[in-house]
Amino acid sequence: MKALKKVLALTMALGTALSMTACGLGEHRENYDPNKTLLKVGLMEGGIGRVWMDEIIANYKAKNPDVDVEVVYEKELYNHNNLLTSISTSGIDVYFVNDIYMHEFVAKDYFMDITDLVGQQYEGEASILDRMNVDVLKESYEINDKYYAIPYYMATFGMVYDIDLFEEKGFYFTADGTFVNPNSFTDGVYTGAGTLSAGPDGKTGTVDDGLPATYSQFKSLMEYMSLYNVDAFTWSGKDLYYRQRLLAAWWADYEGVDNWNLNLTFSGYDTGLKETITPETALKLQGQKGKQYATQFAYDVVRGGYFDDAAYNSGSQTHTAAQDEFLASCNTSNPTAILAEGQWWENEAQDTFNGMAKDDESLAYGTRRFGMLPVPKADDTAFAGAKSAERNTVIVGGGRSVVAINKKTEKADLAKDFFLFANSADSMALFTKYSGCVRPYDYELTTEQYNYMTPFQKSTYDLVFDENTDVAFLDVMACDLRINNTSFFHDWMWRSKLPQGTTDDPLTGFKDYSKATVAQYIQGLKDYYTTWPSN
Amino acid sequence: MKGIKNGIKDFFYDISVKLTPKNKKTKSHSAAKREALIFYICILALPILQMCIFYIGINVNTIKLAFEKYNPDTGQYVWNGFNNFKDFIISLSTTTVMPYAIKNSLKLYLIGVFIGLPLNLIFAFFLYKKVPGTGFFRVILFLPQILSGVVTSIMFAYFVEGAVPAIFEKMGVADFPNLLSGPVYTFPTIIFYCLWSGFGSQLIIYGTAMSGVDESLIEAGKLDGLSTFGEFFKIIVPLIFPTITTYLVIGIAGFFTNQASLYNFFGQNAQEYTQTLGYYLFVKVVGSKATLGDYPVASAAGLIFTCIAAPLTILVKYLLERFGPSVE
Repeated sequence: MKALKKVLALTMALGTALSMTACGLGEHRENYDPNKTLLKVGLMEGGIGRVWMDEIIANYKAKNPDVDVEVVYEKELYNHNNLLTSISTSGIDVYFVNDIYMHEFVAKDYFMDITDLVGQQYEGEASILDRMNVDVLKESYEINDKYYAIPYYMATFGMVYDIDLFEEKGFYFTADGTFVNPNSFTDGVYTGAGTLSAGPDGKTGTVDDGLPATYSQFKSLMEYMSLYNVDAFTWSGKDLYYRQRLLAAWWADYEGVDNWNLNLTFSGYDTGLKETITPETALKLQGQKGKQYATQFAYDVVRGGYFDDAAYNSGSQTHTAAQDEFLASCNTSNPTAILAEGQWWENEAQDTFNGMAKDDESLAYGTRRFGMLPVPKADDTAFAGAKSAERNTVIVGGGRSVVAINKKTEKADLAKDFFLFANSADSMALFTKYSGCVRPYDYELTTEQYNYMTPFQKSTYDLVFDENTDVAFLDVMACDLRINNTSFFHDWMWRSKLPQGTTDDPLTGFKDYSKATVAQYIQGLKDYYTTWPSN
Repeated sequence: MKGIKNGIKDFFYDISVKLTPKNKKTKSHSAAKREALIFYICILALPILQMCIFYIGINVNTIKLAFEKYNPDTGQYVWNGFNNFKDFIISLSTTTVMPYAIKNSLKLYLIGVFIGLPLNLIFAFFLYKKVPGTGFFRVILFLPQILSGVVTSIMFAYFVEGAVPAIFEKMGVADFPNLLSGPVYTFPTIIFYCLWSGFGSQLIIYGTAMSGVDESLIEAGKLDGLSTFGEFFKIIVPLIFPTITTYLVIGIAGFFTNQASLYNFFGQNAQEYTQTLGYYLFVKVVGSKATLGDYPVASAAGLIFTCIAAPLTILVKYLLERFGPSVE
């Protein structure tokens, strides 16, 4: 009997040990050469993927034959709180993560001071700091005159439209303001009557020709789509993130980057409101006209019913489910024209593309054509934007993304060397080639790298790096008030206290409360903040 | 089934025979005692350690946190007196979510007590009486308990948002509402889910308690002309009342902690009109929105809830024991 107990105890202990192993070490565990120095890189799992990192590592290993690199590719492990509790014992040397509050890591002395590193030249190219090309990032990543991390990536967000569907149904405008006839395109070139309109940029011969230039055109396009039994929009019903950012794209493009950045810095002059904004008066920003513009758009989408019903499946419509339905809708009698998504979405949906391509090769990844629909300009003079009409402002995420070296690393020199290598211009180009996203630094793609990207990735790359484009970061911690009150400002973008109830975003609010108006929503944005932090 | 059981038994017996040393010397009494002590220490060490860390340690830390404030400049918690308690009490009247959270928690508790509990008792009684289809119902009702809560809620969400509207559309009902969206339907659907998914475990508990009732009492009742209805109310319910009391008492604490599977359904994005007190606290410390600065107020809220729940629980227990039914 005793022996039986021993066997049972051993079996249970083994089971426990195995299950604990499964918790700590996932599929990323591979065989590494014990004779080489092993560097561990923590990479956040997400739409950006890891192919680019594998390529960078392969190059690094070719250059440093005595080094092996393990990628610990995880998602939940790297959310802010989990990383805070695990970083000091993780054994990971270099991190590439997103959505963390960097200041807390610096306060707890978890990140290595890399001021010298980011300021030094690497193999003849300009320093990381010199190549960093967004001022608000340069300022916000500098803490007490030092750098502990640098931005990992930026990815734009907005209205992903199905170019094939647009061309098939004729969802483009001619120069005289009418819709083009269906199937008026051959190999992507307009062959119908007349010419396409100049589009939002006002220039003919550019990628936005024929697309709605003004809000009234956009509204008539949504109506026109419904005549063809096409749902204009879909988005993730479960993840608020996507609805918030879709509307932020409208808000930011209306306001322009300088006014938008006031929401991050709480300091400066708002040319639309004609007010000086300080931390004490920042609540006035809730009245920005760009917010009204975006709210009006949401109102019209909801009241017009220009959406796929699944977009309100808040329990089951995850962002990947929305991607799948959007892609699959082309085979139905009720397709969807526009998906609210980020620059990474095609990369994330590769499996769905591949699955569909098994039945029809024209639906393969990189073969189907998608683009990022520009936000139309306001056409009401009373609603005119504060910025010049020629410039586009695109919102980008990644303002709380970091590449940092663990202060506890036992391989500091190697970690620093890898840090410089992975953040060189060549490595950044690889990042863009494989992920379709960009990094907020100066670097160029080779022709081969550019051609490797899908039509959608090329168009977003061109858009973000266009000389007429300003990038507006969504979530940079650019002032003390925000840093010290992170919870308070979670809902800054869209939470509104309507007379009928509080809601998280206009697309949900107008659906939930059928009598809510745009004016009530805007008032509710201010009313929600009944108190204001003192510091 | 018995064959498999015997097979496993034989397998372990064979191993034990092989492992048992032959001609073992008889151990002295003190050695045996020492071995037994080591064995008990080994068995108890892990659970005690676990309790020290995850129960005592966490609760002590929670109490400490309730009086502290996070300083983002230093990354340290500093003394904050009773300010977190004050902030939380003020938030009860100033935040828009609190009225919903309190109302929904109350609804959930009351519906659980006045609808869920009677239904559970009635179903358990039918199963106890072995009505036709008992085995089938037992499996169906217990199924949600076997599956992970996340799996069950995902399946339920797909069913409600996908299958149900499709079924109604086939039946000619166009525009059937999404039952997990909007202020009218969402929380009632969540309540239904909670009742349904919690059915199995209570059924087992009540069923087990009922099967412990002395058959002779039932027989005696029948001889006295007691109907099935009378048997249920006059014998079964009074005799299993301690079990019912336990559930009711646990439910009081659950009033403040039950997050009604909302996190499974909506992640951290549940609309305010669906939130409960448990969910409100849960998302304060879990998910990408949570930061170290949120912990102190959440801890203070937890302590306030404990101060309300503890005496209330004792009072309910006393009242139920004092005035609950007894067998005549």
